[in-house]
Amino acid sequence: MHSTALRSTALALLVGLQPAQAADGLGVAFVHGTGAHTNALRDYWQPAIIDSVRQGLPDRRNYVVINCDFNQYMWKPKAAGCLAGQLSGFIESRGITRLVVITHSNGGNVVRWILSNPTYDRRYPKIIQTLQKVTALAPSSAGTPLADAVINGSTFETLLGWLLGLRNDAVRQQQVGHMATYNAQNLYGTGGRPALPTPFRVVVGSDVDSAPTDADSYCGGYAANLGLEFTRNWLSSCSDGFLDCSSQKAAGTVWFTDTARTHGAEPLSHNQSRRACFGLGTLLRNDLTQ
Amino acid sequence: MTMHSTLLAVAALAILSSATTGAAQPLRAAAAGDQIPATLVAAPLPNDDESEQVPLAFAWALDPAQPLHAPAPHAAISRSYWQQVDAAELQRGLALPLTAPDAVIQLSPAPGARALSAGSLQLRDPAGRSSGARSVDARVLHDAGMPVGDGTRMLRTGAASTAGIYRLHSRQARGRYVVQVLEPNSPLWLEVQASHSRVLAGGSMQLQARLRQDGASSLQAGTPRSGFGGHALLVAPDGRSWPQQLRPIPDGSLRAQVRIPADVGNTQGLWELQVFAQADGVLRDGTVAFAVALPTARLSGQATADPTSRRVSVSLQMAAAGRYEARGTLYASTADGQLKPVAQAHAAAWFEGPGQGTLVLPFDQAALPAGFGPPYELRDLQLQDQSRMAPIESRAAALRF
Repeated sequence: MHSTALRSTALALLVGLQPAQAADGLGVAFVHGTGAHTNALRDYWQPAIIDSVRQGLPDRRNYVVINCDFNQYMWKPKAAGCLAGQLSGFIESRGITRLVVITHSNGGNVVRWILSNPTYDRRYPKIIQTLQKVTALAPSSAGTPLADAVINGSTFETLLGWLLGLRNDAVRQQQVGHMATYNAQNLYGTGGRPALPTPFRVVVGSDVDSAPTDADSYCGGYAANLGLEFTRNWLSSCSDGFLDCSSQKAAGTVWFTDTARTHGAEPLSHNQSRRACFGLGTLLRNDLTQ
Repeated sequence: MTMHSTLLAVAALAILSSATTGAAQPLRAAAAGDQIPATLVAAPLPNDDESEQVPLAFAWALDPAQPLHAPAPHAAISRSYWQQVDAAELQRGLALPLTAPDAVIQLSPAPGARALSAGSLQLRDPAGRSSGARSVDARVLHDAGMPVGDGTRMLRTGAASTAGIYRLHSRQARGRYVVQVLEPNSPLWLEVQASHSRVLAGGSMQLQARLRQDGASSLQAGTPRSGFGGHALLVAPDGRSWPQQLRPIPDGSLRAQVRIPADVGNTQGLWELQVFAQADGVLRDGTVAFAVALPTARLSGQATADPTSRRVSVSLQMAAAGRYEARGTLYASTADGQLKPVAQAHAAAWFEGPGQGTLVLPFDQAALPAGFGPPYELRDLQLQDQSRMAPIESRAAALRF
């Protein structure tokens, strides 16, 4: 499971990194949300926000975009294990001494798994020691009713099999009741529970703009906002179309709620909170060295 | 929230050896809410087990000003319901009771069923008119990040819609479908809660369901509704399920005493209790999740704690090979005798099989805040089976030293 040196070398080759020691040890890792990714830079984040944020690094090469299978339960080798491997490889190959993790949606749960379970994997302690802070963009810390809506009806029937054929464990995990139990037993940082060993600061998305006449609706892609305008019907009045604000705020501390800092006080839909919309890239960039 | 973190991974010998000085003392007697295995059972490792083999320990400081408390079991709140229907019901017109405007209806075809286009699906309001509901397809929902099955459609009745019996109709329906209804504006909601968020295999727990109504007057808020009934289903992570009988009790709620099978299978994930309720034509369902653990190990009941080093050594008994973890919270005393949380520590190691073992919680690796000192208490002491993702044992108050 843990041939760390081998993995690090392989990772360095894969991402084109040289195992050189950077002059400044500050690095940033971008950790995607639900999904199995092989090119999260293109498919999940898009280059604009990555390039915007890394301008704030003393050495702009000190960044890594994580590609793992977050369709798995957070603790699985292809999820947290993969994340630990890529973070460890990044730390070693670039000589990172201060790591900032920027994560979105369910990626926050996978990161929180590592922070909450330091003895689960030999790579976790070094990652936690190097981690300066986590910036969690719209994390699904308390799950989402949309996950319940996807899973409902998937109950196994002996003769019929999974009725809807959905066995995505990450979606199962993000059902509201499931996250409540994981938060109570396996994860830290929620109310009344021990704090995480590293600051976990949250950016909250609070609304969705999808009016076709509003140019702001098009940032990050109009189609996604149109869908989020519909899915928000499952949610409370304060939501980013995918997550209730209360879920986003459930773990860690709130850094800011979108409209308090974005250009034009624009809300960040769940799609826009991973895109260079309304000055988000600049806010994240300026925060790197804070 | 998080304070200065002082962290350390220590080597195997430090964890497995008796690194604390002082005499062993018994853990405190079990209290209500503690989970302590009475007997141990052997169990195989999961087929895909990739447990870490290296012993690890870790500790970090907590902010004494942030009080800790054990979360109550989650209470699920539901203004929705779902049902499986066949094509004939949709061809006749499926009755959907709605209690409030602007409901959301989701239709998902089962494998092999025909996907229904917007044009082939009609929703008629209580007066029999086409409701004019807006709808989107699976592609739009996928764009929003909702991984619904192919062919899924979502409809919204709109703010101007009225309550009553709607009918969802499609002559083109073929096969089986799941229909879900959410009424975000409904005053009627189901509350479902289990008595525990974790239980041992073969154990039992209580399930309670209440239908609530919030109304125009605060006096009506939370009033139980008459004619309330339903059934429940216990569902294992591997998909097995067991019907549970819900019985009405005088306070208007429904209750079931749920027995967890001794054979809990080998699939990781949480168990569920799903409740399907109705009252006067109103449908609601809700789900709670909980962890089930095989008692493959337990704390032996003895610990050795050193107030000088703040290291606590806990003894284990194992009946099965696996990676086991102890974790706990250290409380320290202020000058005026108040106990506050000051550190969290975990220690885990692989154990080959039946026998005894020791794990050492290294609270000394987290700096003690100024003004705090002995006597100490070890609280929320837990034993986890990391190989099987199972919370085996928990003690709210474990030790004073």
